[in-house]
Amino acid sequence: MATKFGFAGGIPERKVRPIWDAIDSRQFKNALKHVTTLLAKHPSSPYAYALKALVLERMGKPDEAFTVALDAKDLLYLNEPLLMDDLTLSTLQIVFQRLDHLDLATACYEHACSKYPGNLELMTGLFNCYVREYSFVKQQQTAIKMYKLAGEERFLLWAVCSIQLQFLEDILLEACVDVKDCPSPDPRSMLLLIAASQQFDLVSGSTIIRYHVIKYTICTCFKFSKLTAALMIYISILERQAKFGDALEILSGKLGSLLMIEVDKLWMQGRLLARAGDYTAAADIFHKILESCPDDWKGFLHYLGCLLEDDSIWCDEAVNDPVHPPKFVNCKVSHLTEEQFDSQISIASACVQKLQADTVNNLIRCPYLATIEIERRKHLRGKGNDDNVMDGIVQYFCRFGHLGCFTFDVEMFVEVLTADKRTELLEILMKTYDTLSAPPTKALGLSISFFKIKQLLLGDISASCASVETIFSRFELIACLVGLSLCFHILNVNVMNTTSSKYVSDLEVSCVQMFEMYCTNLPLSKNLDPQEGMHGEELLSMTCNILVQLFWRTKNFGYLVEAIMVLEFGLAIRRYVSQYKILLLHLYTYCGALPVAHEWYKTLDVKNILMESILHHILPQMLVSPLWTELNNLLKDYLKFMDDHFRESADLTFLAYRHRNYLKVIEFVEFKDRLQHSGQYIVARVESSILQLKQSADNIEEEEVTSFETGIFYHLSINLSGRFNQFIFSQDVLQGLKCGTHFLELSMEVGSKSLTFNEDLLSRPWWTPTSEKNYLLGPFEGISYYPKEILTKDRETSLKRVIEKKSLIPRMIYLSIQSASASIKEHAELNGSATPDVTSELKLLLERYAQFLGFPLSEAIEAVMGFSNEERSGAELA
Amino acid sequence: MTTIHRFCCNDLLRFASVNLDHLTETFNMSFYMTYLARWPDYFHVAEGPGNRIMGYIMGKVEGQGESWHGHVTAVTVAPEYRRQQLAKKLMNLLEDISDNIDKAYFVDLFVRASNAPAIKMYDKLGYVIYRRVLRYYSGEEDGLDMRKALSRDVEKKSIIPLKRPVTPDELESVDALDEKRISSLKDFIGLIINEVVLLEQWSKLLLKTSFVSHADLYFSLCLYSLFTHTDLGVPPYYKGPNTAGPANIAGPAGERTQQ
Repeated sequence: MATKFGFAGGIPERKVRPIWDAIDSRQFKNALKHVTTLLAKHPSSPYAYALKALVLERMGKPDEAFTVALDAKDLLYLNEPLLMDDLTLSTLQIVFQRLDHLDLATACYEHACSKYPGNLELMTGLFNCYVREYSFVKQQQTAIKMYKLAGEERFLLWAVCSIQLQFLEDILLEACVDVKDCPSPDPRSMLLLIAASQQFDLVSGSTIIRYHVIKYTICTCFKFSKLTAALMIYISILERQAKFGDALEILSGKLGSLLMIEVDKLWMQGRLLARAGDYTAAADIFHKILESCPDDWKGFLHYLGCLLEDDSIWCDEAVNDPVHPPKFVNCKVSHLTEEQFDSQISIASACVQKLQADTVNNLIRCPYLATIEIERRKHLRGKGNDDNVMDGIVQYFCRFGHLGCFTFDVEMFVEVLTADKRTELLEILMKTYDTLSAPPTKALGLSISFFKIKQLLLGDISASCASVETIFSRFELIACLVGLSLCFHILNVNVMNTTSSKYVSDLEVSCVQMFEMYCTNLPLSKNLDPQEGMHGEELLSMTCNILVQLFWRTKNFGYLVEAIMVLEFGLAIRRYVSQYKILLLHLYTYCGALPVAHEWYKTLDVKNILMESILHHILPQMLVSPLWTELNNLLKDYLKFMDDHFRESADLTFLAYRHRNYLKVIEFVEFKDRLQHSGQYIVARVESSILQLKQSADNIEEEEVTSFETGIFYHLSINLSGRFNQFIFSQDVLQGLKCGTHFLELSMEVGSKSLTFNEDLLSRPWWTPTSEKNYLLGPFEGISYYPKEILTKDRETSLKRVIEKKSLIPRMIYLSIQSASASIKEHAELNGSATPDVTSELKLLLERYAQFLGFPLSEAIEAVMGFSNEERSGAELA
Repeated sequence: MTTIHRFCCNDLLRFASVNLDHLTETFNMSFYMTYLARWPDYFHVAEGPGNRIMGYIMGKVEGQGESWHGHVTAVTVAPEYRRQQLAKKLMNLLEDISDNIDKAYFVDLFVRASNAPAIKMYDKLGYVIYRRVLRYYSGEEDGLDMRKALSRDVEKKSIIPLKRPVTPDELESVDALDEKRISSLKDFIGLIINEVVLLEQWSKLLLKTSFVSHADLYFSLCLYSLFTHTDLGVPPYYKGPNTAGPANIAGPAGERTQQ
């Protein structure tokens, strides 16, 4: 960078290069030495000061760095114009950004741009500052100025993006505050109109076409592809405005040729036609897609949706959470007449049959699953034939039963069958399974699929007989690994109570069979790398799940122990199977062995973005555990990842701007927003501060010694149930939390915020489908295979209450300390009471807190006093 | 049963089933987002029924002149969707884009020398071992640079195997001469003579660097510097791609892909 500028900040480049080199190689002391020499020679150079600030900041001296950076800023404002260059400003910007003073960096650029309104480089820097601040209006204004200055289309597109971001922000704000009436005229429409018209001028005007033609002729595809991004954002704007016809016109015109990947263009056309209500044309387009990609399942669903004139799939896309999409399309009952419906279904069937006939690749599954989907649609219309659905599933089993995804594929179709039909289907599958012959790996796959579908089909049927079960059974699995050979024995499979239902015995038999199958087939994987997944790996997870189900039915703890043993055994064979580890950590948690569960969690090596989606497996239980050090590490790593991302996200957004991938600009901003509203993130922030307070209070001996030495600790004495407890809180901790005011604000605001849930619930075991729900704690109700409960709204409401409640704690502690210390002081002096402000605020917060507990304050005090006087038991209080 | 679409940020929150696999690396956010911001056409995800993520591929296109190529950074498939040729489908997609849209000369990838199943798969897909990179993975395990020539490389020059292995330093010495540096050199050369001709010559020189030693490259740069009276200072390859510039954004440095 320095070479580019030659005389950056009026200093020859060769003099600053050693400083940058030292910074790059993290030799900060060396860098500081160089920069001090430089400052001696250039005492009025803002660049030299900016460099010093940068070095100090990297050395971990933020206060000094900030002072020096302010000096640099002052010099920049005072100094001669020659010294105001982008290198100085960008260096200063880095320092201010790292010190969380983006506003000061922006002010420097604003000042520079006001001095040199014609400097495009400085304006780009200013635009970047606004990107970092998420100031979309100012981004737009700056981009327009840049466009006027340089006449480059890309700046106009920057402005369009900024306008779209304003639109999205507007929507988000609306969602948060639940505005009832939009002011008229609708500002969002206005914004989009401006955006679209600006871009329309750009696209329909001759400039872009000329540009396109020139670029096309010289075949610079790299730059060429950037125009595609412009076209895509234009179409997205039109789509948002429901101007589907206009968008289609653009696509079918010359500009449509910008989309080099034909199938992308077809998808866009199909979607636009369908949304415009032209289902016939849309169906034709999706038919084309299926012809070119016969295995495209989503393409088939869109095709069928268009034939049946059912727009659910597009409505779902708009409404559903993109992180937790539904397993299958919610279909509307078609408004078509019987004849029309039959005719459209026969068109779909013909298409599917043709696809099947044309399929030479035996791995293409879509046309075969499509047959069952057609039957499902007929079923939903009331014209279904269960035998056809069953026949479709059986055929699919014969063809693809050996694949690991077989059960995932068909689970949505099983749901349309009644209990009797499911039993019937199972019998047919059993007969079919017996007749199938395949090579060993395929045979193993078929067996696994059979076990899985059996569980799926029988899951709920058996619920009714659960109440009469009084099972006491036990079997032990002892497996040992001796050298390379595995010896497996099942001992003592005793059914102690002869009144046990047949179903429970069946489950036990299944467990034994699956475990035996796993062991028998181990040789199939002998040539695989130990780090690779092995054949039949799933069998142990399935065995574990059935054992858990047996425990749920019988409350016999032995089953849980068996489940743990099975998984531990599996991990001894293959130590990298994440599925086993997740199950195991939940089992250990349930058994109360949280430290072991945490150890297994650590072996999952969860890092970066996986923390957001996987942390839910361990965090809730850790929050209520005494494993504070481990919890602290979890929270620290997670919060660091999230905060780092928020810090760097804007720079990456600007990278997307620079590379003209405008849809990504919008996507990045939306994604950052999604993470910032993450329920887990907000909980982690609150809990982290509470943990700090708890750790500080717990460390009494050490703190007391320090407190005598420095005298910076507050003491809070609470007389509870006749005992004298002492809590000591470090002033640092409370000061770091701004005396709890920050969280108090959060508590006030969180109710109006919209929270996001980003957990990967698919990886959770069925018996604990969300962190709030654990089936094992209740009576046996029967299972559906993977009954994931995405009750986002309910979860959001309850989580908000938890956050609101817990966010009060730091402030209440601070006020308690203030109140107590003031009370002691005043008692000593005047025998008076605590400061009225503190007391009244504390009382207010206590009232709020009591409300969350479901008591008026007076009753809450009474309850606590009763408890403290040992009149009531803890359970009673709860 | 695959619907392949462009990878988007929300997919990062859905790919846990794929990335919990021991051999699949979860990179930092700036790594993923840099790829999304710069090469969105090279980042695709495959979805199955029920909107389940089956696997994904991420890659990029880079290089100059005849080393303009597509690169596979990661390709991975969830355990339950393996043995269905999904990786092949994803690889073919990236090759098509490199070949037909970006007109690249070849596609390359790095794989652990011990990862026999992956090497076998790439071999089946038409990749050949171009060179061995010593201690490429965390300074311990060798990596293999495998390549497949595309239609633009008519004579298949790009895949003629190197006879001797290279070190990561040598690899980075070439990579470090990134687009930005080349373009600044290009600007300077443009003042002297027709830029296209010289740029091509420069590109060829860079291509040859894989055949010559580290010192040869430095020597050639010194000659170049002497010829053009340019103070190049520290040879570019002695510096990482993220040196000195305050405006640098953390790029995909430290990439060690898992194939």
